[in-house]
Amino acid sequence: MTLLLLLVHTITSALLWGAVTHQALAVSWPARGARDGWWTTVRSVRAERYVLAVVVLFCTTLSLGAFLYPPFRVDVRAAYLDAHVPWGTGLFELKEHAAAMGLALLPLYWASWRDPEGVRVRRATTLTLAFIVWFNFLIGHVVNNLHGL
Amino acid sequence: MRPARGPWATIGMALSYVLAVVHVLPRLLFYPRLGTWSLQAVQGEPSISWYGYVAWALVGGAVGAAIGARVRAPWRLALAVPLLILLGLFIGQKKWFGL
Repeated sequence: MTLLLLLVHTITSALLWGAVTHQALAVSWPARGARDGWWTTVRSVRAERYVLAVVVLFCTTLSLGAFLYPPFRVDVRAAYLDAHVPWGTGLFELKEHAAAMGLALLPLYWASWRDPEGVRVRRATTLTLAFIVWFNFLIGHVVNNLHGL
Repeated sequence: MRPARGPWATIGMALSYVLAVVHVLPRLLFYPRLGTWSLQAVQGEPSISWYGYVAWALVGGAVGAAIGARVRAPWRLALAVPLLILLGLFIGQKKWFGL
């Protein structure tokens, strides 16, 4: 069951990572003109269509992480990381704080995309959320590689 | 949720979270080996305090959203508060890295 949850957690985090990255690129570096090509296509997505997906995926990924926390706390952190790789524990602590601040940002993020005047706040909150998602995605992989569940 | 409530909800969540982390708000701990919740620390028993922090953040978000129905918050403040808190929380973890 833990392995299944971890796999789903990985999949939802990858989907979230892709969605928020697409959105961040589209909102901060929108494609202009009619040029073709991969890079233009990546930035041509309708960024507003990603908002609900990002919110749902963020909450789903965080909830799955919360379900996985007890076995991590006992089998990984207490049994291994604290004694052998304390900086791994530190990385995980950073990850959980970043996840919580990402959760806190969601209401502002949601509101910014519903405000037609809020172009700058939209860009700023989306980029901040994208940074948090990238950070947690990478740290999650590093910690899991130090000692998996 | 109405857009005007968003910034205050963010501020409320971020502030409540950090107040929980620094133990201004009561700690709520989960003991995974025992499968129990407690407000008290149990010596030598691994615990999870993050659940309690997030629970407080959700309470703070609800309070913030209620305030947002009456008072408008500048979005720069709403973005700066969680970012500064995150920076402070990151610095607070330096002990794990031998700093």
